[in-house]
Amino acid sequence: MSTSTPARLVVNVDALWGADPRWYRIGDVSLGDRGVPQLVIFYAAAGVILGWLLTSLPVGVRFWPAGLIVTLVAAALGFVRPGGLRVHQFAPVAAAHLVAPRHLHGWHPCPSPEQQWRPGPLPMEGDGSRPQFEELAYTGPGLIVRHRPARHVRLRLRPHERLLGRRAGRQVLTPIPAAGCLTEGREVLVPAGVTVRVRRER
Amino acid sequence: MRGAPRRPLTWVSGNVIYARHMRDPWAVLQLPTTNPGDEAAQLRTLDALRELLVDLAADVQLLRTHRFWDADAYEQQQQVQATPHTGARTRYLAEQAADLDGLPAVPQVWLSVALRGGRSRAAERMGELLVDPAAHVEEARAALREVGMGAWARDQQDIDADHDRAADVLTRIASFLPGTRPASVPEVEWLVRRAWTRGLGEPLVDGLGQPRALYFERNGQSVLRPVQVDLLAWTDCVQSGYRQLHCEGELGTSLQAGLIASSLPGDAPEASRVLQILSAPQDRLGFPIDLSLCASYVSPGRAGKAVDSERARADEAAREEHQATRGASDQALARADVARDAEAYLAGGQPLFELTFTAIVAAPDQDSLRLRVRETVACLRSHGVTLRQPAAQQLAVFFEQLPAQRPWTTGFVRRATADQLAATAPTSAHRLGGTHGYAWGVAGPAGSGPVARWCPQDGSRLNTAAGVLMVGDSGAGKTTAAAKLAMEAFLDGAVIFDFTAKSDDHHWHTRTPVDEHCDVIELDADHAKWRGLLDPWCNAPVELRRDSALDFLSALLPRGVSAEWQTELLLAVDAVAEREAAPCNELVLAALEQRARPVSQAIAEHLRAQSRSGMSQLGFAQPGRTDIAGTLGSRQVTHVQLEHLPVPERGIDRAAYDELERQGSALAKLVAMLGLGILARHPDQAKLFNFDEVKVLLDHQFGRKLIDQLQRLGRSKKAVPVLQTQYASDIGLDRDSVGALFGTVFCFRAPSEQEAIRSLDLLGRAPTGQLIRDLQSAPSGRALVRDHRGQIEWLQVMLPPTLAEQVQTNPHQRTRA
Repeated sequence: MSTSTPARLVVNVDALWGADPRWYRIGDVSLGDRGVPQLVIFYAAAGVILGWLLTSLPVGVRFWPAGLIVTLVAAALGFVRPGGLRVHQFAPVAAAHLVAPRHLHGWHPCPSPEQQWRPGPLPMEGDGSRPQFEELAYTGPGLIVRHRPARHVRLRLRPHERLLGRRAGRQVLTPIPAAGCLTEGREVLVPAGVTVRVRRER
Repeated sequence: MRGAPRRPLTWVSGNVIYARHMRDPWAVLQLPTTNPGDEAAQLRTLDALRELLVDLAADVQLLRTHRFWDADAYEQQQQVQATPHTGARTRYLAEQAADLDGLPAVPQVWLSVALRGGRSRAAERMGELLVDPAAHVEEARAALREVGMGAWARDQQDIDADHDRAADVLTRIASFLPGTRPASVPEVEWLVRRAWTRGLGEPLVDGLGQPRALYFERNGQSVLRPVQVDLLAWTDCVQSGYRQLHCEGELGTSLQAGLIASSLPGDAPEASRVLQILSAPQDRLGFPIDLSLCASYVSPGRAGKAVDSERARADEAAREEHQATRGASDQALARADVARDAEAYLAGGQPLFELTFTAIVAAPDQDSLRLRVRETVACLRSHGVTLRQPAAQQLAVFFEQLPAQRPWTTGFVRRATADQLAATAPTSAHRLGGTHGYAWGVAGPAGSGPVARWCPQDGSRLNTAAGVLMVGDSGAGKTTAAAKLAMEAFLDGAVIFDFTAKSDDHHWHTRTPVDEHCDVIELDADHAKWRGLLDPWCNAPVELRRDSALDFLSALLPRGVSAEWQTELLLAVDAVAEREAAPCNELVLAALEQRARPVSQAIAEHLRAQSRSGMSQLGFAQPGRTDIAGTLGSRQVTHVQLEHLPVPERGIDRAAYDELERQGSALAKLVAMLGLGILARHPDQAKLFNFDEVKVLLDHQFGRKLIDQLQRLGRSKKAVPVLQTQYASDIGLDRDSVGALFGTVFCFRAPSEQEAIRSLDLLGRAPTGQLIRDLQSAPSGRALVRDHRGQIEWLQVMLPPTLAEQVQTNPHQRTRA
């Protein structure tokens, strides 16, 4: 346990780091009584380089004041504090925010919860407890795997194409609307947007 | 936003949290909080925290979280105790819980300590390597092992070592701050899951979803890999906006705005003033906010180097400006001064901390959120903290509000010394009462603090004085508070003796179900039925009988009687006490008459006249009829009304009482004696003794002896004496005596400055101008309370609406109701 006499003076040392470092002269050239923030000079230097690139490169701007304008704008940015940050601090933060996913679930990107959820390709298979499919309506895309006892599948738009002839447990697959055809065999691939209704024939 | 890891939490094992990856373990602990009004305790905490931060030499995070009061748990807990009034108590609790639902509970303070050392200079690391090479070799081997295993798996022995370090940290912290305890896994789960329900309510935490891990063997060693989906199940969906967050949680959508400090408070001449910066503003806000202080440790070597560099710049700036025509600016000179101070401070080998201070405000809708953000910023600005709502960094602030985090935000890092960090650490919380008992209202000066629960039986439970004293001006709320206390004691099945000299103000017993279990005794001068009911020989405990009878009979004698009269009376009383098996005051009169001395005859004649009429006849039982009081006490509540009791004016000394006042004072003591006798018949039950004229009990040594007797009964037999008076100056006791008799003191509004000062003296609080003004202007029901634990705090007493309407003493409001 502490036994020393408690300090009665708390000094805010953060003020030491609060001020922008300044330059007061470059060589013998004075930069004014209060100097110029180093940041402004760095930004201006970056602007000079950028302006030179803009006007000198083969694909650059052929307008001579462009370099001067870029330099001035860059120097002016040295005085701007968007959101309380310097521009070179704020720019990567803003860029990261722009490219980052908007929605996270468990720290992982996820789609907006307001969007309607749609499943991807969905295989459907009976568990064998019944001799046939239950009646269902399903909108593709997806895959319906017919159970073995199912023998009779009829497409309403093409009634002549009956796949199997046993009457007991016959099923009818009805695409709605009439778009595309269904594959034959035990697996029925349902195209995107096509609704298949499965019902038992009595 | 810092780039790479976007995952703030990886795994939780006990109170060890693996934050950004499995090589970033933290220990999470709950710190004890201090009462903001207790300046000495706050300074002790400041010292302890400062030394602790230096001693730990690690990154730390302090979280101050608010919690909604759990009305359901309160109802269930209060129902546990058996009572004959189950239905009535259930209704009462339901009404009370509905009234208080949504209010905050006591905020909690959590300290996370990184179990890996903070950043240091290469020279310091080299020095550590030379001191303990084995540890560094082992660390290097562990790092090499990770190359093979991946960053998400750890050896089992490393996990065990982390737990050992966490236990070591706990031991060190507990030596500085007793009462510190490790967080449990359900508490860590609550800390995480509540981030999605801020501003809406409490998440459902059952403690069953503990994060698991897979164990497998590798090269003969057991390796552990956390099952990440377990921890992810604690989280929900966050929509990260530019200046706010939408958190889709189990209770709906919580809109949250993160705020970050862009400047810290300036220098403070006294640390105690700094201490209030992060607790006092919250007391003024009408809504709860969460605070986080993420601090990275900077070793003394690095700190010294950084300060050297800044000092050189500050000196250069001051020199250059000094040579200029305008001279040096105030800012440049001040910065040079700070540089000197910092250099001198760090010369003692002190570290620095790079910290971010963030607050998060939540609301269910946009308008409320905007308003709350504005209020929070304005409130903290007045205390020297500039808060900003950082653009594009809201998710970073959200992460910083989770446990065991380093700073995530960019551009807002502040530097602070250990002193400054300890002084700004938000470790104070308004607290009153404990975890037992009925809810009594909200604590804190603004009336928007946490719900306070207080149990009158705490005196017995904590082995402190059992008495409860209520002081306050007329209409300040002491009668309604006492009625609440009596009603709750009744609902819990306690035996109650209730005395009032103002029946117009006492209504708590007049409705069902209390009236069915209540004996109402109206004592007045014309009511001969109760003649002898208050005879002290019949009611008082054996050890108090003689004194009690003597006090009563002396009060009936004319004022200024000679010593001879008093001696005669004393001899007669002694004779009765020695000879009679069933003594009574009538036998004292007979003894006086038998002495056959003129003085005795005169006394007997005077007292005989008193015993035949008026209220004094209540104190003279007939021989053979000494068990009148024995017919009382069969019901749960005994309510005694003694209208027109002559009570002395304030400030009048007992020696200056007129005859009626002396008689009234003596009768009041006899009533107290009656209550004492009735309550003593129920040794195993909880008991309440409610008495609203304490002045007449404390004006004489015998009265104090009586209260002391009640106090002893309270400690051993679960009796709670509740005494009320209008003026604090009526309590002619010093602070120690009050503390010995009354475990809890309620000071309601004081009628004058002197009374306010006296009230503060009763509480043991130094009278400051602000406190005196607050006590004089306190609204009805608001009191400064010292509880059985010695905590002193403001309390706004809140009654359930039905009871409040029933016990309303203001005639206008009563008529309106």
